Amino acid sequence: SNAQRVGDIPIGDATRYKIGEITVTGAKNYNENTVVAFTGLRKGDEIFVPGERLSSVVKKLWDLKLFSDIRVFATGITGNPNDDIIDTIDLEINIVEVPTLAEVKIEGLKKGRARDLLKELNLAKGAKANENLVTNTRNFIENKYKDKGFLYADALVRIRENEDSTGQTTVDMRIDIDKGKKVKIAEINFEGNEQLSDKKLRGAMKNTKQKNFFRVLKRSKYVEDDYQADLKSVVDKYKENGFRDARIVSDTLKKIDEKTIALNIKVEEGERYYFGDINFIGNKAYTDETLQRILKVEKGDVYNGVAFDQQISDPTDPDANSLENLYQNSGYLFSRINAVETRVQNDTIDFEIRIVEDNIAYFDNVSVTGNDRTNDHVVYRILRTEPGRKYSKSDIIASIREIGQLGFFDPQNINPKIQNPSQEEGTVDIEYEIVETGASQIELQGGYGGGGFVGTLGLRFNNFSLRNIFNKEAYDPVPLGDGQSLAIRAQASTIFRTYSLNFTEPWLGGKKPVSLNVSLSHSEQFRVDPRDFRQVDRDQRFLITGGTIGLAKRLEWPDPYFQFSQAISFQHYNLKNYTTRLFNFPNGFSNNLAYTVGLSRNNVGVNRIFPTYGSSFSLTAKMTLPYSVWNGVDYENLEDNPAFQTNGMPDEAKIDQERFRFLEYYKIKFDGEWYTELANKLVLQTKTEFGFLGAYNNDRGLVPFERFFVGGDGLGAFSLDGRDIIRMRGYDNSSLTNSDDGDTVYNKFSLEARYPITLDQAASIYVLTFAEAAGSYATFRDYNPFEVQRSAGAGLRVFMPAFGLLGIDFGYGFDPVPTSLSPDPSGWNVHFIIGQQF
Amino acid sequence: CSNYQKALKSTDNQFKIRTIDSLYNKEKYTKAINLLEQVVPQYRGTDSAAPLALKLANALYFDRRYPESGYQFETFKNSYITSPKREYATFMVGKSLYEMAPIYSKDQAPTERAMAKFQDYINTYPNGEYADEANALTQELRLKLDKKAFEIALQYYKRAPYLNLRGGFVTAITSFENFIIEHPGSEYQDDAHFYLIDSQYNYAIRSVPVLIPERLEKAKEYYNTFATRYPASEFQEDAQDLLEKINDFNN
Repeated sequence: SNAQRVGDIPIGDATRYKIGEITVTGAKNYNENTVVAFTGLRKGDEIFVPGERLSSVVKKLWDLKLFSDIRVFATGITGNPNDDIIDTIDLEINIVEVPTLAEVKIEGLKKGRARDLLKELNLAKGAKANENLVTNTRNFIENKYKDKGFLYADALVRIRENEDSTGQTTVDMRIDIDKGKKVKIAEINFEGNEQLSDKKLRGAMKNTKQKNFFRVLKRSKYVEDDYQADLKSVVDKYKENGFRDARIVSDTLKKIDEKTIALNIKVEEGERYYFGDINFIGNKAYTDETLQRILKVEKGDVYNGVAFDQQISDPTDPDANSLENLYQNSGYLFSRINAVETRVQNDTIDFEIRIVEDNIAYFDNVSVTGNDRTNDHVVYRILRTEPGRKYSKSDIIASIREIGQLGFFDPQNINPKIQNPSQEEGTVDIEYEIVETGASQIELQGGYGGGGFVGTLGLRFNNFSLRNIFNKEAYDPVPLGDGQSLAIRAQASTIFRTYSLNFTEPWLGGKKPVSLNVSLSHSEQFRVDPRDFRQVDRDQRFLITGGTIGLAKRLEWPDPYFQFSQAISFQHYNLKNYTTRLFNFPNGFSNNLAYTVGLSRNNVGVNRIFPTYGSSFSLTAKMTLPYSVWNGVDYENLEDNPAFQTNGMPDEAKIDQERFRFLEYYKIKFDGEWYTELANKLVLQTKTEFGFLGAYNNDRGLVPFERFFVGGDGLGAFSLDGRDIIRMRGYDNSSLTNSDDGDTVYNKFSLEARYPITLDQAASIYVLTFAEAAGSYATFRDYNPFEVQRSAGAGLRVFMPAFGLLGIDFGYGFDPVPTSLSPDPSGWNVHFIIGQQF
Repeated sequence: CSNYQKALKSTDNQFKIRTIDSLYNKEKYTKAINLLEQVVPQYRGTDSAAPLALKLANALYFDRRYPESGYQFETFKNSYITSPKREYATFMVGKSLYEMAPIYSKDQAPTERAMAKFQDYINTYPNGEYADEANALTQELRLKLDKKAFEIALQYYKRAPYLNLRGGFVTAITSFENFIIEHPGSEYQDDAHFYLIDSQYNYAIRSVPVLIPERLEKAKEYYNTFATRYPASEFQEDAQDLLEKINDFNN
């Protein structure tokens, strides 16, 4: 049909022709008819020569990348150019096919390396060997090795054309690689520097380093691009120190031998300059004083161009406290700030900071793209940039962080696109481009522990959709996309089994960030012969079944760092022929129904592993109902009650069963920590803790559950009784605890100074030194906050994302251990820390 | 089935093609595709290339491998300009993308691409065989985009009381206003108008006293627009109630 005809436009002084014959020449592997069909040209079509259609035909063929040359010839024109009848033109399409690559051979590398390189080069059999292939291949290989410090890497790429049996032209490639020696920099010499020392200038070069035996983290190597960037850093170093005119006069690379080079850099320092008058012009929203405070520069200061520019605008730090951000964070999207040198007199420079504020902008359309799996509401509800709100760059950054923290999207790939900024309307649109990542985990592990093989199977879905659980189409492989989390875990060995299920909905009802958490668990423990773990008696067992339902709410008042949480938990303990220290009865049960309420505030920042500022507090109270108020049991005189006697003697088992039918207690905990930066990177953590377990009815007494165990590394063991294990270095595990069942009051104070060695993505390492004091008291009557045990010591922490936190502390306890008879100080203790307590 | 295994290993292209046809007719598309992928490159540049390419694209479509079928139809459309099947392929590019369009609450890039492809088809073949279907499917996709935008605005509306301190109702108002402008002819237009009145009313009564009358006046304006444009809307009664509340407040 005619509708298919591509439009044609004449180019310049073109003539219109009717197409006669079309021939294709030069084709070897391709059918001529196919080529003609591909061009879309047909006998009888009318075209302009020269014309848009003809050139698009050439371009279309060219885009196939199958031909190295394409020409269209007119092989004959028939008709009279002077009459009104359109002449006929015969066309010849001449093509030169690109040969295909047959074999690639790499010499000079080990087999595995050669194979990897081949993969990187992407030279598969059948690839088209075009003109640039040789040059591109050589450059790629040489640059690859130069970037690794092989300065003299050399790749010789040769190709040979073959004609195979079918007449096709193919190409074999041979690459000879000589990596040469890895080149180190023996010396970096400076000339012309009087004001700044060689050492200081070398320090400014971040990636080009002199060879040094003690250099472990950053090896000496010469990479051209890094070197050029470092030369710029040298000049910047001068600029930071007032030498505005400093420049590199020359730099030479001297080959010392095969493995080492020397770099000689000649600098010209120029004068040292100072700031003169700084005037602000055009500012209406903010006073000169406010702007001056952010600029942090005063008349008479040494001129520091780098810092000065950064205080105005720092593109490398989105959170920078700069003049630009002051405006950008308060709606002034269209504001512009320019610093202009108005006068240079001797060594003093005057500046004028010219500000154009323009209108305040408001967000209009806010959109999210790329959420292929996650439903809109999960993302939109956390964005701080809402339609109709004042434009703010910091809100955009906060939104990016919130998206990243969801864990459903690649944090490196969140792209906020500012669109349609309109100065007139005072509006701007923003689109967040995001990329989904896998958010589910499967944990399947086996190992020896607790006296036998322990198998664990865990599934964790972090972007679950509960409402789609009966929707067959949503399974992929499980229903996902509503931002809920579901974890199921089963663990079993010959002596115990535990099952747990945990579900969290972070935005219950969808209107507010109120999180709902529901968890269920069941565990069974069997009696085992402590001398032979294979002797398991399943008739002697201890079952615990329980669940928790909790709500947590982020508060807007007093500030958004506060969180209020409530939970109801229930645990049922059931014993059959099973004696434990907890109960005086081998057969029986106990219930623990409790309500927990907590208030916490946390604004610790910025790095979770190494916080440098902020504080965190939490106050929680866990309590049961005061059953003894109304149940009419006279706990004081149970011993005298015949119902609790056997053969006229008080029966401990019966009494305990009555006391622990429903546990009755309340427990209060407080935890506070502060982070202060003492000096550059040296951070002090100040921490205080307090815990108290009480009874409503003294006759019924304190429960043997939910108690505190103070001392040691603070690592939680397999515990059944809701105990709190408190770290106190310099003492043995639980050694400060006076009572066998655990104590009911404790407090602790600690100071810890931390200094980071590296805070890399791959590994964060810091050293610390600490001083702490803790006291543990059997009952409140014994409580004396000043009667504490003291310790001090030092340690190391290593955090790697794959392993979590690992650490070691050496602590010296100054005081005798309260539970020991020895009057000597506790002395040195070594503690290993795994996966806890940042 | 054993024929299929034989054909996979065979070097006899004729045998492969016979097997493909038989598998295709029996709706065993996955197997047909595997064989087609072997055969198609062999016939590149011959007269059999076009029918084979179309068969591959169709088989991928019927096998619900829509990203691939879309790509194959597109390639067919661009390569065989004179083929009588080009119209069908052009339509099927859109249809493949249509099948990929997700639920409204997820990223709608495939929806938008499908609409563009149907539009391509309609532009090229205004009276084409599939023009009615292309129009109907486009309509269906547009509804999806309408619903998405409306639900997002509605989410802001539902959260507005909670976000009142940081301008929750202003956000709802802006969102519904944008929806009304950007989705004309949508079946959610009357809903959006109603929620706009409600958001403006709630915004007004939470304002400082001096600003209340002027903001209520704006709510009344919104009501008037709604009442005249959508006299038969199911929200008429609720809107009436709102109007009464506005009037009560003024008295």
